[in-house]
Amino acid sequence: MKLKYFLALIVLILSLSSCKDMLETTPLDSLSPKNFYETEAQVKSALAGVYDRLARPQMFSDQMLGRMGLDADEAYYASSTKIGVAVYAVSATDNNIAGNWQYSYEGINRANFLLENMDRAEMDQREKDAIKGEALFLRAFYHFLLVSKWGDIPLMIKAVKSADDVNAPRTPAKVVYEQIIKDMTEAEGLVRTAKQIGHSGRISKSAVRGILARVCLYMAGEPIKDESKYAEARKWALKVMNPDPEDGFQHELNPSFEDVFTKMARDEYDIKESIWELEFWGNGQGGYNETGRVGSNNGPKYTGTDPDYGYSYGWIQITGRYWCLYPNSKSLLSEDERREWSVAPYKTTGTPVVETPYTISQIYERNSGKWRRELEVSLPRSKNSGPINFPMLRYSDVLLMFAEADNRVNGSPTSEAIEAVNQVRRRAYGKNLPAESVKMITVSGGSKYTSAPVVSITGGGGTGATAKAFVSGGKVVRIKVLTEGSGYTTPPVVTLSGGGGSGTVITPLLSKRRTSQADLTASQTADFASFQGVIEDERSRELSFECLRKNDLIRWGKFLPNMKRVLDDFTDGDGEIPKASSGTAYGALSYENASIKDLLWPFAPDEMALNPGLKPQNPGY
Amino acid sequence: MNFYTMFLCTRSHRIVLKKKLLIMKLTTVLLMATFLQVSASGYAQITLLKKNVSLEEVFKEIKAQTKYHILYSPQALEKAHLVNISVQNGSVEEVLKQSFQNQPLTYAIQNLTIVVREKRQPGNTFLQAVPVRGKVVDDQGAPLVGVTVKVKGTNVGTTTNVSGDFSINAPDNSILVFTYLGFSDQEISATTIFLTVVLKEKITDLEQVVVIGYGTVVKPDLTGSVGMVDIKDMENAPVASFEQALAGRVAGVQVFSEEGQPGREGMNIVIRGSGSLTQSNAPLYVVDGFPIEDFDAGTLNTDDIESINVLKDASATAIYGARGANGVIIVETKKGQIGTPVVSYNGSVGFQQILKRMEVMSPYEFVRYQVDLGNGASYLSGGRTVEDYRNVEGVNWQDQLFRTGKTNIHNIALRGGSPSTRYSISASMYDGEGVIISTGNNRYQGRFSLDHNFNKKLQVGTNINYSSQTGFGRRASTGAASHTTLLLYATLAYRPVTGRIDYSQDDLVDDIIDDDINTLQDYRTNPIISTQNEYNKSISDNLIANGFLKYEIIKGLTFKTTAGINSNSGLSEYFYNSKTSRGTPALPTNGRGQWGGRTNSKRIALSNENTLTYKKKINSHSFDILGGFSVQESRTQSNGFIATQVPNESLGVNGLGEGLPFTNSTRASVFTLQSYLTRANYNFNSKYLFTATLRADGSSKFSKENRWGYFPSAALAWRMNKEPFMKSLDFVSDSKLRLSYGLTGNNRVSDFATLPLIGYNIYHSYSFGNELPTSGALIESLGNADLKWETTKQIDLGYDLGLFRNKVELTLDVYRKTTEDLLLNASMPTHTGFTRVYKNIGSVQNQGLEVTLNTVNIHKKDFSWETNFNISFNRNKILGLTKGEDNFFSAVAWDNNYANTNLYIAKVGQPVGQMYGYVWDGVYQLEDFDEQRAGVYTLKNTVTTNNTSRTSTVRPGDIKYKDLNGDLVINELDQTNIGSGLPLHIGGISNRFTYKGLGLGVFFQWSYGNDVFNANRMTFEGSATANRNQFASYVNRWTPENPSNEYFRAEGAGPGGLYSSRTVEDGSFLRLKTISLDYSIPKNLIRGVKVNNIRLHASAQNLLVWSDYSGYDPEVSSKHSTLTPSFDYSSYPQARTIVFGVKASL
Repeated sequence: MKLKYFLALIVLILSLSSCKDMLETTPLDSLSPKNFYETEAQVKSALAGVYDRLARPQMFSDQMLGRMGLDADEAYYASSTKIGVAVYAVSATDNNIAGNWQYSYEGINRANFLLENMDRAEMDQREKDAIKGEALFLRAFYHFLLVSKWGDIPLMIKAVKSADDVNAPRTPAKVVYEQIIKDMTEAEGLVRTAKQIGHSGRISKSAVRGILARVCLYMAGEPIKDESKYAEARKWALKVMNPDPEDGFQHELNPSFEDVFTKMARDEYDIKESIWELEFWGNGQGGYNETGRVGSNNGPKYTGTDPDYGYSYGWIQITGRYWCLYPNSKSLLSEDERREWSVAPYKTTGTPVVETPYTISQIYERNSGKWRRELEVSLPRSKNSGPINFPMLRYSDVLLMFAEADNRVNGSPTSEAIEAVNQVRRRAYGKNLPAESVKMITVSGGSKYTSAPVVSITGGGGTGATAKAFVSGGKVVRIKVLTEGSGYTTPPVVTLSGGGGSGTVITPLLSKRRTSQADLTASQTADFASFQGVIEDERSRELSFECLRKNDLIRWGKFLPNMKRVLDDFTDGDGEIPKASSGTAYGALSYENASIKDLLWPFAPDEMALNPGLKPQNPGY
Repeated sequence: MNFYTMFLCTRSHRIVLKKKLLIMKLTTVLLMATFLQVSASGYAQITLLKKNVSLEEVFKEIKAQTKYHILYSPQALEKAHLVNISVQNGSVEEVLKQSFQNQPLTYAIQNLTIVVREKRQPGNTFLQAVPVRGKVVDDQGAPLVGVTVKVKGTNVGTTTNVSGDFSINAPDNSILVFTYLGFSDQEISATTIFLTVVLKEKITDLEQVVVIGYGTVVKPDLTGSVGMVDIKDMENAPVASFEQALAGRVAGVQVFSEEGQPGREGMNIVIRGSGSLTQSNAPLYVVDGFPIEDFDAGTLNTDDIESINVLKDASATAIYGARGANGVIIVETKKGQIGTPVVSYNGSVGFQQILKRMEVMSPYEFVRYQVDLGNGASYLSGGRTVEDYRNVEGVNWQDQLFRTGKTNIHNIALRGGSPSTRYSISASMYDGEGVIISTGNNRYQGRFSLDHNFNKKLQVGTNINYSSQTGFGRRASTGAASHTTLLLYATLAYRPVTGRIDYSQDDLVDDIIDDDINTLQDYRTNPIISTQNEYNKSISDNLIANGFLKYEIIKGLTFKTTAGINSNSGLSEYFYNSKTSRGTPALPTNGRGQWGGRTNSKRIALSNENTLTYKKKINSHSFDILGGFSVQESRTQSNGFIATQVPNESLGVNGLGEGLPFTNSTRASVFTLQSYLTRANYNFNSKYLFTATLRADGSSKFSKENRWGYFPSAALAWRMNKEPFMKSLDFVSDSKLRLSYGLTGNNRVSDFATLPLIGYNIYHSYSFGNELPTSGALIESLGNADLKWETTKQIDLGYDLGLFRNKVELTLDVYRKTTEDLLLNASMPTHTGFTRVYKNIGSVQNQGLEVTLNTVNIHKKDFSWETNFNISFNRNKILGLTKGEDNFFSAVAWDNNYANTNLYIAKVGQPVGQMYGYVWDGVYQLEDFDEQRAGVYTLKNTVTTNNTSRTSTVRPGDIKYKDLNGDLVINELDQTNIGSGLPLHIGGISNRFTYKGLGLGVFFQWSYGNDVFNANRMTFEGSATANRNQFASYVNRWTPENPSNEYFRAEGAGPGGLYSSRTVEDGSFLRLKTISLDYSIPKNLIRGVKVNNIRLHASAQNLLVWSDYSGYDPEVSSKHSTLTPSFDYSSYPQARTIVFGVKASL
């Protein structure tokens, strides 16, 4: 009898605990795509995730800034490293290259997930359209980064759904470009205008148009050479220059070249000039990790701990040839005011900091100087973490792209094209700024200074110039102009007071805005070829260190000759172009190494093994 | 139910005491003349101050004052004379001793009964048959039916009835023999009165009961491969957790710790090789019948452990199906024994020291090196020379960091029981100070178990274990991303002397930072100050509570249900104040100010198992059938935060709330498992044995379609020695051939690996318009809905041989274990947007040989010597990886510069854990170069260059690598396998000697053929970083005058960021793991003391190591995973422990 009861009990327990639901569990701390992308906040977070990959160390927050050879003939990697993409000693296993590949595709994947799921979100339709447009644009932009670096690549316009879905063949670059243009064109109709957005951190119609111009130029040039795209490039650039009436907004150049970058360093926007910036934020203290190494990789080197300065590796050191693109190569001050901002004319050492000017013979030692961490406002400054945004598209680039495309389309320079270049040049020569200012103060001699004297600037017909002195070894080594002032007609009187020393010979240098010749000469605009040549140099002068040079050279078919030219410069110089000093001779390595294989980056062997479609490897690896 | 109630005998015959009886009584707990009241009050003290009283009077007093009963015949007392007693608050024995002085009587105390007899008169051999009654029970208190009871040397005999009772006429002074099949024989003096005889199941060496999955089996009937740990041999090892003493004890079981950090040793147990590459290889633990995944062995007190068995082959493990693939460790804890309550105490104090110190450069050698590096200026200022440093003593940082640690262990237990109720209560305390200052661990633990038989059929029981473990102090091998933030680095790198003119070391010793180091690349801080100030503590509170109910439905058919909970709460907290390496403002990388964090975690696992067992024996056929089902659920959750810029650092971790919030996190997960299991055992005469099992597991980790896995196994065993042809070989006591095959499973992937998951992570955010960043959503995982069970197929052929009545026991096992559908966290091509996804891809094979030899070399009355030896060989081979993937590379995160350099390779066709890199080829010598002009060398065109330029970069004295492809340039194509983290064989040998009360155990353990990657040497042999001290070995570096081919010149390290065979070292070792000496104080010396037994012991753990390894200890794996074994950088050194203790029971 008892047996019966027990068996009944066992059956009962069995049926209770084997209820099927028990094995159905749901994640507790994450969502699945099925129940995500439902609210505006979720969709916006997904969008932030898409942008995020661009701003990681493998991309624009660190490696691409001076450490992946993107500055080509403008600058070399300031390290004796012998291996890696920074010095064109690229092996297929290069980690920086693999990371760049991976992060680009992660961005694409996030965009695909967003695009495939966001339709069901309940949210404001205008915002929804904008986000869809941005996701489309970014997916295309990631593809653009990839296709311009690797050539034929897997085109991923659908999210991978299965773990077995690993085979993705290389799509011909032309097809990839067409998809990029298609996506971006669609995005142009969806995103907001620059005015509506009000800052440069999100993709506006102007950003889409400007980047489309760039994409078209790349497609029109080497290696695809679809020259029909020049007309499209011209069209898109023109759309930025002459926006639709409903945009209610006209892009313009900032009158001051320098101010474009000081604004970036100060976390200020200039939406008229700086159309799209990659956003970095904070100083790495507090939970977020949204900082970059803008200024820390590509600013003037500083390895002390002065709290008023930010740590900088100064990875980018310029070539003599780049220096000589600007006029007055033998003078400390160039009429082209871009030079003394793009290239820091001083070095920075010690704690507290001392700035020491370079002599005119020290060229290859100089660092890029567009982004200077001393201007950062997010304090205290951290070693590797800063808030300075990085420019992805500036209006001057659009003007130069227009000129280039227009010249191609028409076969010779038109007045519109010449005017576009001249606009860039006039700004560069300070033509849009009021009269003359104090650009630089040189010093020599002097002794017995124990502390920095106070600098006062008087006379010269102008006002507003201020400066600061640095003392080292008893000498005033540098007087740094803090504000240039305006209205100077003759060099002002600069006096030093205090500091315990004397005997310093001081020479203030004024700008030459009234007398300098900014506009292109007749010979420069004589024909297609001379105008093209001017544009090529102008792009370097205007857009140096903005990660554009290598691909510009490639699309012009000039990468190898230009690199080899610089190699010769290092040892022999070339005319006014000086050769490298013994301390910087190591920089020749990049130019020695650069070869035909560097037109494209390699695929990582792991990647090729896992994705059979990736074969063949790019040539030379 | 009161069959055991005390019977007072009124037997009127003379009672003769046999001397032997006393000995028997003292030496066995099996015999009980009467039942013993479960009460400690029996030990109550007694006061008796009387003169000229009769014994009868004395007895009355004893009965009145204590719970003792006294048995005597009135006739005997007639012969007694009057006595004087003077006992104040004394023991009963004291009273009795005085009472029986010069009496013609003697007495014996048995539990709570005093038996009084006449002294045996010489020549009085008169025997008289008298009736003796009694009851025979087993050790569970169940009556045994049909036990043969005989008077020794006669034919007089009877058997017990259904109640286990018997009655027999036995002559006085005779011996009763109790025999019963399957039970040990008992011989008991026919002392008068009523006997309760407890027969124990036979536990000869050969016939011991082995606990296996869901049941027990006698050893000869075992069909699977089960490794048994000799607990006796292990129990003297002074360790906090039994795992630490397990290495080398069982063939096929590899046990090692990752480093010596107390409480954070990182114990790994790998049974028969690693079957899984990316997932856990930890075995399943079953404690008192409850399967526990992720078991922390430290929650158990070694003293509470009764037995440890390791299930190795599929026949043994398949009953655990889903979780059996990595082997199963079955732990049974001590239960109460029927008998008087026994209180036992085991306490020890111990001392810990490191086994050796690294030799670093003396001040003289250090300064000479700095000069060679071009960094001599500050040391040689003021006209000093290197010679001036000859006699400078310098700071010995290791002396300041290392100390003699102390351990205090106290264990106390109370165990006892009646035939119906058995109980065990124990508590323990472990308190350990590590060999590095401010580090240590402790544990407080308690355990309770109760078993109760309601009646013959119904039995219930419970086990409750609670432990609280704390590990504290700076972690030696973890820090920030640079290798220069770690503790042992700082200790060895800190220079012994500065260049200050007065040689003053004060600032070096008292400052948190060395003012002369380059704090942009070198983040070392004063190791002593930083270690003293760093707060780092983790507390783990664990509760295991479970209960069972067993009911015998009909004879042979038993139902058992169990329910259990395992709850673990973890708290880890840390705080870095301004005097620590990660909180000092002196380092520019420390951007967080003074900061810290706290993490809470909780894991609750619930389980319920229900089984039906049916046992039947028909003539020579024995059946044993088991069926059951079980459900498990495991929930985890954790939360934590980090706060930075904490304003009041004196508040430490409690002041974190005042700081800035940095990160916060919460995690939670759940997983459930449902299983059906069945097993059938059949044996014919214990000669032919057959076992088959089948288990089906359903796991919530897999999608509906793939949820259920089925794991069958079968085993055959043949006891050849029972065959007629072997009967004549009477020296063969056992000869058994075993063969088994079966499948086991593994579901150790993350709980929701089948689903794509979207999460937020602060590191994936983006700031729009300079606003506070918008949290970014990321696709955390692709999810793989096709995931299914990983399956391990294992075949095992075993042979057991016992010779000379099992004085020699040999066990051989060969096996091949193939893991298929490997649950691999597989690489994905990254164009998919994912780097890893769980896939059932790949296959790993382990095959090997295990030999165990146990011998009783000498077994004399006073002296014995036993030896246990085991050796195991395992060969691991990867049979397949993800499609298209031949190599699976792994990097080790120890330094940023090597973050992307792979050191380990898992290659198809090779074992896992192979080290990969360049082959070191000595040092470039002068003859490798053409001398262009004095001091300017160009490498000859026929000599391979380790760098791109032959002219400027490579110099005589530089490190040289082997050019494997002959292109005269060293590049990534010249990399190959440079070492293996897997041993060729491991084993242990234990010898135990006893001489009278003296016992000596000596246990050696070894590992042979494995390599260790000694990354310390990359930092301390030829580092060009200024002011960094080096190993003394580097004094012998290359110079033109000393053309060493071993140590390259100062600054001759060659290209950075690569690994070479130069720092791969033989990690083989032989370790004198445990040596213990104990001494039982003879009983006659402690008769007056109220204890049964006192043993003094001294033991040493890890006393000596023989090894060629140059680091602190070859047993190290500071970045351990299956893919990255045996990497040593800044590991906490293993300690030697010597303890002195006492064990007592009363």
